Amino acid sequence: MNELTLTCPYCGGIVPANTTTICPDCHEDLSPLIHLESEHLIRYNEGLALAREGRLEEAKACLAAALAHKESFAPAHILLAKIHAKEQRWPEAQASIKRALELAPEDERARLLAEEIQKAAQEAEIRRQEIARARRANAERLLAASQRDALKAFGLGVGLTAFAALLISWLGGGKKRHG
Amino acid sequence: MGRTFDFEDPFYPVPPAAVDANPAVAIRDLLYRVARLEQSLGEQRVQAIADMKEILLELVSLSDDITNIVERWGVATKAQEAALIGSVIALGRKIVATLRHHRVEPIDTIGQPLDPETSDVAGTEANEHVPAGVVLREVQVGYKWPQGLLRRARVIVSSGPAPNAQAEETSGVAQAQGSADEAATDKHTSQTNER
Repeated sequence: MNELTLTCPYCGGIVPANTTTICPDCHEDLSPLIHLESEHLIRYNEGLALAREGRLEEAKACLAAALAHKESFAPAHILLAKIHAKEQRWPEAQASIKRALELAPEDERARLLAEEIQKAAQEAEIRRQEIARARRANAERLLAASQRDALKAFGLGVGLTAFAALLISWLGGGKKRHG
Repeated sequence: MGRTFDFEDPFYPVPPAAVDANPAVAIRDLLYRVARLEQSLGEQRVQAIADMKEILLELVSLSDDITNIVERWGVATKAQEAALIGSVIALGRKIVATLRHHRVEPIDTIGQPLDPETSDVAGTEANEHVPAGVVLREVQVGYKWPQGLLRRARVIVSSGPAPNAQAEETSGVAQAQGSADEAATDKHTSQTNER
């Protein structure tokens, strides 16, 4: 976890902003300044809390706000990639983790997550292809069956028509004989 | 789907006071503070200028006193007196140097038309050589400084030639012209004789 320090604008002293909002040298309250400096961290923490509660849409909005304040904040990209992965939005997840790795190429956690997303995306693609294939096979089977049924119906129709014509001609011949 | 997609990342520590802070309110307060400080600074500056003016006026007055002392003393007859007057003059020069350092400069009035912006008339005097309204001499030297006028000058102004003097002057001019003519005639005569 990075140490957030800032320079006191009143006295020039160094303030450990992770732990305090009061300048240790001049005792000025720097909380508004630390708020502005840590806006991306505050939004990230909110996003993380919402993601843990399963409120993924709200979490994404918070992370977008965090990135609007500091686009180079890699943990927000990582968390966003995880949320997209949870939602199985693989292209978005891959884009987010790619940006995280650009910003933090040494981050082992991000690298593992990228591999995981890549694997999951491939598996999802294979599954999608299998499902598509199965659907296509099913559709072809149904088509063939329907074609067979149509042929059968046609044959039956032709037979019935021939039988009816024969019956009519036979009945017509009988009347002439009686007459 | 493995554990990697769990949201087990740690929170970033941010002090609660910073999370709850409202920067807009803080900036507004800060601007009020700056405005108050600016106002106070302006008032202090005006006061400082007034104080400075007071001190410089006292210095100018001191310089006038020294000038008067030196003028009244006249020529020193004893060595001790000469040394004393020398010290007084040196003190006067120091004061003048201090005034110059603060960019206090005397106003040039003598021989100039009266400027009511910088000078008050202490009196008038008839003078046949100086036109009316022109400053003859200063009763009190005026000074200016970077902030404007430090002290007004008090001056004696010429009222032009006196009426009887004017008449005298006219007759005098006529006489002078007559004598000049006579001289020219004499000169011409002597030149002719020489030839």
